[in-house]
Amino acid sequence: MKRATPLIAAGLLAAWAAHAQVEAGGQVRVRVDDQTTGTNGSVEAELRGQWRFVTAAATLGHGWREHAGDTDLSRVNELYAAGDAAGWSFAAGRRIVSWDVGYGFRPNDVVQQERRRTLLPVLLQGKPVLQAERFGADEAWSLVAVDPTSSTKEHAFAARAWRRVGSADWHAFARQGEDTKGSLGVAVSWVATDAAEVHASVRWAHEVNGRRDVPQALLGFTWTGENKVSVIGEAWYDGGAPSDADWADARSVRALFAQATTLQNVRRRSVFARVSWTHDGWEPSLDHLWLPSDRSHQTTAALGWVGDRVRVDVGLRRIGGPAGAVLAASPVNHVGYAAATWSF
Amino acid sequence: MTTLLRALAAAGLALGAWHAQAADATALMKAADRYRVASDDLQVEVQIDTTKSDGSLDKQRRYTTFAQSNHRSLVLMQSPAERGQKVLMLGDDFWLLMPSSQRPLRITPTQKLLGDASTGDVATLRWSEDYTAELVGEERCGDQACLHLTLTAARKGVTYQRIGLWIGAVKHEPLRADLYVQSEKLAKQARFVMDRPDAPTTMTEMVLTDQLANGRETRVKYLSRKVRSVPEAWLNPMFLARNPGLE
Repeated sequence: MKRATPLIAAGLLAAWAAHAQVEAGGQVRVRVDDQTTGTNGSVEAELRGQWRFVTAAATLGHGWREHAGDTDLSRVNELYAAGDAAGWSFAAGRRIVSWDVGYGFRPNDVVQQERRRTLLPVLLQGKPVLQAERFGADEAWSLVAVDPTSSTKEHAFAARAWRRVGSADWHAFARQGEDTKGSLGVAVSWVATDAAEVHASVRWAHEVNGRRDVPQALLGFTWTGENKVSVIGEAWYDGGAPSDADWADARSVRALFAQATTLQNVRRRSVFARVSWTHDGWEPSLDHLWLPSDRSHQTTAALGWVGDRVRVDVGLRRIGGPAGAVLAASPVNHVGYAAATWSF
Repeated sequence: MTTLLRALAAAGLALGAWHAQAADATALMKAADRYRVASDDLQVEVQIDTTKSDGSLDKQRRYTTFAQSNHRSLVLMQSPAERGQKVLMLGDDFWLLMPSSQRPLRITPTQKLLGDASTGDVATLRWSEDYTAELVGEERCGDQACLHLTLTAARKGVTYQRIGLWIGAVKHEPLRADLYVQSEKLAKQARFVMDRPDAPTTMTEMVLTDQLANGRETRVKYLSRKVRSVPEAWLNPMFLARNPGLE
């Protein structure tokens, strides 16, 4: 698929040029990261387009890593056909299917399984899916067959039911994986006042990361004032993360560190807070992730500026904690980044 | 007994006058609305130009707004920097979709205030659906007579809690407005530009001045309006992740 990416992107551009009715756009982003292990740079061009019943999004990209050389970052983010029949909407192909209500952690994001708390928002890479959806006045159903086309991931069926009840959105989720078997979840997002929203998500899974009978839960809120200050607060429990006993076991620690980069959470309990202010095109923000089990933490200070077509982001993330803390043992203890994005 | 009857009669007259005035104020508000939207279901193309204090253009944004009956609006962001973002408003409830994640997200009424011209400024096209009106009195607006109305939010999800609205005394076209948020703070001031000042038929622009931004001006231009009812499914929040063909 990766080799086909430039061809698909070129096809998208050709279709754009040839057909005035094609809706198309995209962005070019130049990014430099300076972290403990060296300096990295990348240039990426995102192209998005829609022609009749086909939607496509592709990224052409190239990265440079100090001490590691060049990397091809090109990928097809989305390429799917969609249509309606008998009151249902159908889609087939690679598509982004994002579910759940949290910010720092989404236990019920059972199709996309998006990596959270990234330094910059990036266009996700969709999953190969067959999807059927039905939309009522205050409810919606979605059935998805996921084919990850990767030997390390499993085939799965997933379903979501959504219902609007007053100022709350209720979601119910189910997933049946070829290897990990079943999981059930419920989530709610409730606008409690003009300024505050409260959200919660719980999931029980037969298996996550090789662990059985796994509970996962998140509780959080967002608050936005008239002064355009926004606050997010969340706390979550991830039974799929290594336990305190696992980290205390000298025999398993090496394997856990090797696995850590693929985990959504390295500890079971997490607390997250983010404060941001939007004013006159500027958006300074500060967020803090705290893992109470070993008092390790990750703090990110960022500043964004949005112009007519250009967006500039700079920021610094510090990772640390007391001696012996999991995050403090990470080979990367700081990341500084700068990025410029031009939209077209 | 005579005194009591006189008091009751006076109270009745006062109540009748108040009721008539309230009805008049509501009719005046509806008359002012007709300069912005003349149909229940509309597709409105909006361009927003934000200028700096020296008058130079800072940002330009394009929106397609589907203003539908029963307090329902769908706003599609069309500018390169925002393309793919969508906001859905169903009565007092709001959802946002960001294109990078394709996940519909509940937002609070105050989150609508974010941005130079808040989404509420783009999507709210009828005062009479969201406010109750009271006639303050007749005043002078420059060289013309005008009527001063106070609009008070009738629903909790509106962008501005109170609006001071001045309309022409003869044709009832909107002239200017003071927009107050929940805390009674004056958030923005608006003036309205008509197609023909002498014989107005349609509002072509709303010029917003943010009280907190030094001399910055936001011009909300109504580029086109056409009658359009969108399919019911488009007004389902979970449908935001779909990409409907818009034409």
